[in-house]
Amino acid sequence: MSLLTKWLPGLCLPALVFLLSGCRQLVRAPLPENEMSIGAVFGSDADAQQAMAGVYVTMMNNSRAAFNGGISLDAGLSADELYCTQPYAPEDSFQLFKLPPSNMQNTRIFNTIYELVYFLNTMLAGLPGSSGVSAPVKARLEGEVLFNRALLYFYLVNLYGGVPIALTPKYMTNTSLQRASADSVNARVIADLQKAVLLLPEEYISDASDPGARTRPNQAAAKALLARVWLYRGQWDSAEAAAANVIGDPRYQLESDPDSVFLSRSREAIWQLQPVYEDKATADGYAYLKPAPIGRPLYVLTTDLLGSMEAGDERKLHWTHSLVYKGQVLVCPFKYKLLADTGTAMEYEMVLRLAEQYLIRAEARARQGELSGAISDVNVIRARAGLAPTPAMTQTDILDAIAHERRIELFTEWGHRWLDLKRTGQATTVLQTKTGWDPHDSLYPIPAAELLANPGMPQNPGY
Amino acid sequence: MRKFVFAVLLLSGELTIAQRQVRPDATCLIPDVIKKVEKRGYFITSLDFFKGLPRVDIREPMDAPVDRLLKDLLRGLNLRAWISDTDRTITFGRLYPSSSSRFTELRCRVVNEKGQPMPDATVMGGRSIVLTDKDGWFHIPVQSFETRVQITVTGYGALSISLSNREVDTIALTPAAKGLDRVIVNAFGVTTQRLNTGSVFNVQGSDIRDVPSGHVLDGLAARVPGFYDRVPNGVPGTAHITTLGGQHSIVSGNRIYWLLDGVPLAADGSFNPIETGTAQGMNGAGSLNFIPADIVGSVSLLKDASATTIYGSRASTGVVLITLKAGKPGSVLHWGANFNMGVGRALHTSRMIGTTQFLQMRTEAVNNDGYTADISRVPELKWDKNRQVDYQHFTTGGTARIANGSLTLSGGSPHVFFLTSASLHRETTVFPGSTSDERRSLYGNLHVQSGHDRLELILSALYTWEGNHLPIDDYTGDQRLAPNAPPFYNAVGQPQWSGQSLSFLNIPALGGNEYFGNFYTLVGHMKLSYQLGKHISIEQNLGYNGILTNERALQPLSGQAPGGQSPLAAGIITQQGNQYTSTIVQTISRWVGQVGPGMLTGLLGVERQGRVTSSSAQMSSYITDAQMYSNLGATKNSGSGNQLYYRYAAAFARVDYDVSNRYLLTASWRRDGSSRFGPGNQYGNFWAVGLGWIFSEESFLHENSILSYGKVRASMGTTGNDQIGDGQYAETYSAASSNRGYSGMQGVVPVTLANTHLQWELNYREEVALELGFFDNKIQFSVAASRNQSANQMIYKSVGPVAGLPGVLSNEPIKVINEALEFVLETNLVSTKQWCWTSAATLTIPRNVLQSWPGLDNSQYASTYVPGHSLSVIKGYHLIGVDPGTGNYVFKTAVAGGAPGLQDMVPIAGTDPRFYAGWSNRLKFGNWELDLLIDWRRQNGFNPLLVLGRDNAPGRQAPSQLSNGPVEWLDHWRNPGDHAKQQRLTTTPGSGTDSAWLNYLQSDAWTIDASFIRCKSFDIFYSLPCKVTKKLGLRTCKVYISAQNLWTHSHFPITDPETQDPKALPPLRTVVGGIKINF
Repeated sequence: MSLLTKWLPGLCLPALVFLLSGCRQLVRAPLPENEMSIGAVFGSDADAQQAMAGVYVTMMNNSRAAFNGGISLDAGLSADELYCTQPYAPEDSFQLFKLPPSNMQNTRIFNTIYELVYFLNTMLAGLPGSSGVSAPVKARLEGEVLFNRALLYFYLVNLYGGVPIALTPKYMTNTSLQRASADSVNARVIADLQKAVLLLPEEYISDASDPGARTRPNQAAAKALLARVWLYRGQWDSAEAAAANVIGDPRYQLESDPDSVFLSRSREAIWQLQPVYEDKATADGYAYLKPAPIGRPLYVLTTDLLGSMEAGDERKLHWTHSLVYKGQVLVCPFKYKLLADTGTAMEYEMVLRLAEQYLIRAEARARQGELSGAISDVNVIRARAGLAPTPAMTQTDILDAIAHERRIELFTEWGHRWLDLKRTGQATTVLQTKTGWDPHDSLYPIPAAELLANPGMPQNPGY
Repeated sequence: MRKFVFAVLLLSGELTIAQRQVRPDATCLIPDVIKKVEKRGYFITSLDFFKGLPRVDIREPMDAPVDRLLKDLLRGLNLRAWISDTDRTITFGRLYPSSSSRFTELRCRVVNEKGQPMPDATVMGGRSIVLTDKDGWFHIPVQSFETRVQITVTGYGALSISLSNREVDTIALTPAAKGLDRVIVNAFGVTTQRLNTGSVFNVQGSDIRDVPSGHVLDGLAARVPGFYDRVPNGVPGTAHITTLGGQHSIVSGNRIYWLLDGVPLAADGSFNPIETGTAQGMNGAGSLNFIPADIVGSVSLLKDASATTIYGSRASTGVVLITLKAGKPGSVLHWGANFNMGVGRALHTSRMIGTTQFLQMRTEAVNNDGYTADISRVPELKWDKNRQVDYQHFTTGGTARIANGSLTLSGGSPHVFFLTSASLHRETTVFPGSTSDERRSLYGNLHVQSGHDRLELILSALYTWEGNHLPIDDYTGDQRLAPNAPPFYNAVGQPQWSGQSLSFLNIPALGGNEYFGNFYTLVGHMKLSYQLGKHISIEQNLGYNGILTNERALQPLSGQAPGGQSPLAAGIITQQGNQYTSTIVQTISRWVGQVGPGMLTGLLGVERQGRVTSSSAQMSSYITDAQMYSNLGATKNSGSGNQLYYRYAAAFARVDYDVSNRYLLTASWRRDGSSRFGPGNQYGNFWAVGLGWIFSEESFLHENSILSYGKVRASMGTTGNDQIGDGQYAETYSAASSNRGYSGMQGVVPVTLANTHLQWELNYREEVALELGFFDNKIQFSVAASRNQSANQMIYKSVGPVAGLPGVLSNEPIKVINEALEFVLETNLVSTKQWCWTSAATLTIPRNVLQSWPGLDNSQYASTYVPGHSLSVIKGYHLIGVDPGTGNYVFKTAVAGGAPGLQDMVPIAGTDPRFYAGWSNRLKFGNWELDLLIDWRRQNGFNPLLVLGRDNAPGRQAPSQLSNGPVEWLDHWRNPGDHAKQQRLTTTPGSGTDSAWLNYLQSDAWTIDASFIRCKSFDIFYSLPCKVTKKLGLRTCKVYISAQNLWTHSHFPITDPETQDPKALPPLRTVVGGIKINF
């Protein structure tokens, strides 16, 4: 016993020191300085805005992944707009309809869209519970998040069909999500947009680097996208109403000079994305212009598209660019004219613009039998292009005229032509002249990486 | 080898001599005699015995031999002196009168070689086990006049001796310098090879000190079983690639846990590399360079669970404890100096192809494709066909100059003693220009003990500055420049980058791309211990390691091809600063005493660790070189920085139980908390048990003439691994990557998926070993078999694109096995006064197997890992050879003659060593000593032909005209019927030959035999005879020649089999000559 009393204090001392300091505290280390915890991100208005900015940066720094020219180029190759002049496997596969599920470019589109969905879902999960973010900012950010998520799912469902709907950032759940039906994806898109319309303010958020820029979506952007989705869903009255709402907004005017449409101060812009690298303009400019000064341009417009342009169309003059390569005239898209950031006349990546709203309303009106209204909307677009009013009189002719106008007005923008052909059931009729076409090609394959990680997920038919 | 040297004093007849008359008027003052003896170069301890004995008569003349003089001096006094000629010390001890009853207790005093008392020595005798007190005394009740006692002190060997209770003896022990009973440092204490139950391998500082590079790791290579050390290149200061016991972890790092005097190093292995890179390659500078080999006392390498569990989750791979030298108690100042200088040259590599054959190859490749070889297809034909330059002169052909110097001063009183040392290492490189690597270190160690030795304070600090001035790139690969390229300077002496409008690499101009690295390291350690009572002591450790790095790379315009890679056509300065700090606070209490039949040593401790790593990088561009050098007018600046935090807390305990030095038990436990895991998973428990049985101590083997020592030991337990980045468990955001941000904001994005379930990888280790000593331990042999199963592996698991981010770090039920057989044979067969030969051979046969990986086939790792094979095994095609008919490579395919596809992939032999062995020898003959270390490895390595081929296929034009290759390229197919090692040449992408070439790059030609035998070091020492040193006033003086990498035997082509990279500088062969003085 005496032995015990002698050595016990000595043994107890270290244990005491340890216990007094508390186990949890001992091993709590700050996060790396370059990283923020989710709590810190939603700790204040400014930090939460940074998270939103991170989403837009990601949209724009993945050059030609999904946004910043990716969907425009790849869907343009799949449709009858663009062709590639050199054999280049990843993007060639789109125009030849030989798209293996392992295709790198297709995988990038799919992955970056879901990456953005994840970013948005983390915000949606973090925002409501945060006490540091003020109510107006919270509402606005939630609106932006829902709008963006709807846009992402809009492209997913139109490119791939029914896809898994991830609505939370819980990767353990998301990793084994099964494909939803295309209808439920569309329903989610509409629901998100309707909620976004309520949450988003009418005003654009002021941009510190470029006051007056329309680089953050507002209520009109949500309505514009809603108009498009309803058009795609055949809900003509809703589409017409939504488009009319945007057209009636005095903020938006068609630019009379086609060269001004894609500039940063375009009055036609409903929502634009700002390039994020100091020395770079939009990836569209880069994709179509880069090889131009020397040698052969890589992506050129199809003769079919060029042939369908009417004589005297200002858009042909201003939005295309001819080059002679080895005695052959090659015509490239020229909507975006800057290869690099010149610092003066900036071009922003146009996501939503007023011209499309006119064409949406025209089509919705034509479908509902409001032919004169439809004609006047088409003629607004034609007038800006320096063309005479359309001669179309019957509903069928008017719808054809609208389809033609959409093709010319919106070429190489965001896969409009590819999606139009599919939604109007024209894909096979138009594309069967291209080698390799098979109706199953209207949907791109789910990337192999996803099927590997999520066994049991069905692939699209034909792949 | 029972080579513990002990000196025992048994006083018999002399004890009875009557007390000598001591008269105040005697002729000599004792201190005078002592002074005379000291003047002869002896160090005398325990002078306090002479208090009150001022004068004696001396019969012997004052210049008589010391032993006779002392014998005369002590005549009649109950004192005895013993003289050690090896370290020239004299120790006095007191003798006591005898007693008469056989029940009188046995009294004895244990002292060390300096005559100082040895407290806490374990004494077993009769039926008792006792510890000596603070003055070294022990008392045992006995029942006979003669009793056999066994005295055990760590580091001194167990001594068994018969003592009589009629005499009072003083037993002096001399520390074991080598062999079983030498002190070796283990986790939180010291032990000996004899009493250890775990796998602890110890390397003495004397083996490390003589390395010309001054690099600790160079001294460990080939000496330690289970320790694999590979230098990636021969550039000075490069980080080594080291593993202890194989690769346990798949992706989470296999870094060794390094402790210097108990202080965890802030950067393990290497530093964050600077963006531009350096000639040191992708691993950059080694973070262990700062430890001068001169001051290393010993290095212990701990592998099995019994040894490493107590380090918890940082000990997955193993633990290396580096102990620096400390001063010895004494009263005389010792100076030591060591200087050496020498030269080094790169080891032999293949010759490059000459101009004639080079142009023939290029022509042949074009002709093979059916084209005419004109200047449009072989542009090198534009250049002088008769010009031939050997570029080695411009790249790696120089001679490195090496110089080392160190000064050591030690001394002090018995209670306060110190050691301080200053060292300098400088070497230039074989690259052209004024490149160098320089280190300067200051080290101090202070030891303070209270009068009763209850309180002990140790303070030590090591500060090192290392300065590197190196090229940004290793020039070795530039030797491939077309041998007929025009001169580097034109007629007016201007550097030129093209000739006949064909650009080429201007090798000398690359010299302008310089790298400057400055590394400042400070390690401080304080240990305060207090003996609370007879059994208990308490110890407080504080440690700090701070490393500051400042690296700068200059890339002037003059060092870049005009209009070349740099899009901005600018001079660029890249800077990087890193700061690593590591702190440790540790409290340990120990209890020692008898429990039941044996001695129990208990240890209980707690510790906290913190580590902060800060980094900042900056890049500036300049329009002109003048602006760049003056650092003015930068046109563009960009920078980044980060700071990482790591915290760690643990409680640990260990119990050692030793019954009669025969049965040994060790049990240890640790509870660990690491900030790298999420809440709830931070803490974990690790445990181990080890058992040992020294069967040679059993009566049936005791004093066996052949088998002098035999032990079996076994251990099992767990260790952990938390080597992942900081903050990985949490869902975190980081800055989005763009330089403008969006609408005026930088933006943040999620970077990690949260995995709060993340926890350490767990290793289950088992080891059994047999240790034997024969012929009085002149031959010692040990064999150890170990098995380590690493489970719960942390890997980046793909969660699929829909989940948002590519993957999440997660624990998966993957099992990796590391097995090893390790043999050590030490001999000390010749040990006479004139001759002495000792040798040690180690052999390690490792085996690494990926035992199971559920779901591997559906993961992104499917082609990089193969279950049932080593982790270094990947999949590729099986190359059959070159078809003599077509001249193309042929592969084994399921469909004969078809193109190889996924289904034809076979496992490719991995690069793990099949075995590695080292053999060190020390031969002494009189004043001569010869040391030899042989390094032998059987292994596969990366095929340098294929590595070069990834850059450029033979015969093809390469950018900057690096189209040439080694003479091995000449062995290729030319005509039908040729049997050649390499296929026909082609320059056309997409051809059949070209696709065979691409398949070749993915084939099992990827690895080839890279075995080698190398004379790692060879040293000759000559000690000046005592007569000469005495005249010079020196204690010892040695002159020596030391050589590294003197000779290598290997069939490996093109480059060195250790570095294996044909574009990396091979190791250097260095020879230095030097002198070592002690005075």
